[in-house]
Amino acid sequence: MSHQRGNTEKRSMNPKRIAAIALRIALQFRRDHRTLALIILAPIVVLSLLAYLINLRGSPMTVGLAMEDASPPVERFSQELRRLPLFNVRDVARDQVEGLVRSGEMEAAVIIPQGYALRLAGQPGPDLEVVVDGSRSRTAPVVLQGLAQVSLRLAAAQSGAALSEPKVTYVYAGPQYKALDYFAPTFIAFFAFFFVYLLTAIGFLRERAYGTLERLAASPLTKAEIVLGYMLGFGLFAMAQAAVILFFTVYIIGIHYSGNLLIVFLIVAVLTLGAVNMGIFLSTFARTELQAVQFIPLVITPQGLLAGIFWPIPDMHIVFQGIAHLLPLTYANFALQEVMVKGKGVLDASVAADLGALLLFAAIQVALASIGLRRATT
Amino acid sequence: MPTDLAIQAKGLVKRFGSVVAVNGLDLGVEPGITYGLLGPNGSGKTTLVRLLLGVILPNEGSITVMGRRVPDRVLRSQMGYMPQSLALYEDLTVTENVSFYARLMDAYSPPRVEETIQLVDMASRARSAVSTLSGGMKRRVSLACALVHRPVMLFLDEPTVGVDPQLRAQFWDHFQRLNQQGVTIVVCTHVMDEAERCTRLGLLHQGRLLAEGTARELRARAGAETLEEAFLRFSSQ
Repeated sequence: MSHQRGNTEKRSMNPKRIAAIALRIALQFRRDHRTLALIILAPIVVLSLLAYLINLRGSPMTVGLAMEDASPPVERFSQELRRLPLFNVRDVARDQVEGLVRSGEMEAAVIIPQGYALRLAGQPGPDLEVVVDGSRSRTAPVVLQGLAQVSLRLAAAQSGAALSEPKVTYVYAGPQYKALDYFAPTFIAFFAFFFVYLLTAIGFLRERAYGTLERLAASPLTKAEIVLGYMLGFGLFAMAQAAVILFFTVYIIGIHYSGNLLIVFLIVAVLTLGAVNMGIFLSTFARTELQAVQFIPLVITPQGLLAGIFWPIPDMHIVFQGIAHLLPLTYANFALQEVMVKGKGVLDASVAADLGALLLFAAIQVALASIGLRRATT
Repeated sequence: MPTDLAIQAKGLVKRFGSVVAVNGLDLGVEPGITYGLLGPNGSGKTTLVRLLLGVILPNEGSITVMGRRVPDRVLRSQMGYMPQSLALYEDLTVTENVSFYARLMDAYSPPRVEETIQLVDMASRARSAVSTLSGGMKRRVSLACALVHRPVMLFLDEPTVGVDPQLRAQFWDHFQRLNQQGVTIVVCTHVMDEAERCTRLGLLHQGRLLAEGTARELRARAGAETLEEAFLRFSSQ
């Protein structure tokens, strides 16, 4: 009987004991001001950003218009096109079109060939020509959607005029590119940055927590040697990870790409240099692994939202554009898009500039990591 | 103070914000001895060792170790350090840990690593991950990491914390053998029977060196029967 009671007592819940645990956790939180601040600050930052970005209105797309037919029906067509809020129409000549689209000055151009008025009248004639920058996933659908709207308005006004299927030329990429093909380069950069940052921050925090950093500080190792050792060690794994992501996206998922994969590795390598050092630097502000992880909503999430992966940077407010241009993931994203979608090389001015920005970010992080190391060891 | 001292520190002051951890301390340690820094928690022992190693720099004063001004990178390769925490990579094996520190000191060779592991009586667990070892075994591995490059000066910060009496005796026998080989040892402790085994002692209290000498000298000077009593008398003066 007493044995039974003993078992019952063991299994019964004691509210005081439960309250003791809850109270202890509350006490720990109350004293951990950094965690408390992050719990409050991180959701506010992330939700504010999301609220802003989800309500973001796309800016009008700059589209060139080369008018080779000046007849009244074509003039009406061009007026309807200019009236569309989707487009900011600029007059251009046919021979300028490819250069302007290739340079990124305009996203697309519409060429109305001589004799197109016949086509508008439902008679045999030349097709409308459209040249699009295929490196942006939205361009071709938006341009074709705009032209379809013009066609519908004209059809309603003229009863019968219908737009023929335009002849579309892609400057970069092509109609075979799907949404994933545009996202794949940004995923490579995001995963490389995220995991390398996380691994370094936690790895370095452990170095401090287990006292091994103290022993390293007492050895002949210089701070630069520690930083370089970390960069090499984690960099190798980041490269392996980039290889896995690339192999999987290219050969298993079957994304389209048109650049040199070695340049993709180079960009990821430079991005990783910054991520490793940022991990070292920020880990010196964390006392526990939990705190190192808590930096993610403040450090990684804004990069995912502002780096031009989901929302185009030119559409953002000038302040957010400024912030986006301070983030390494923005430059990695630009560079990888240029290489994988546009097929550009490392000597291309825009790729070289993006790589330069990533190197500058890495250099700043190396300096900050060295300062952080001094702080951590003294 | 004799000029051929292994360690010579003058007027050392180290502040952390408003806290003065070491307060105008002079120290001289002869070569080939075990010098014990004896004092309660927070008396400045660890800070003093970190200053002597050059891990942190003093706000005032100067330190010379083996004739070289601290901090000195060449000097660091001749010094061994066993911090109070174990300072081991738990997911690496015993051999991997010892090899890592040997490489840092530019002293790596497989026979040397093996020999050092044997020296601390851990050969049977050389391939075990440190996380699987008992507290005492981890201490031995930590000592091996401090010894693998054959330092001429060894700094031990409470090396026997959590160690059973048998292993503690082995550690001290080993320290004495190192002394015989000419290694100078500075050891922090607040265990009185360990302090008795030091060649000379410095009694630390609130960052100051209260008294210095052999255990017998300190007891006699304080008119006390035990070191503990002597320490209490010095600190109340």
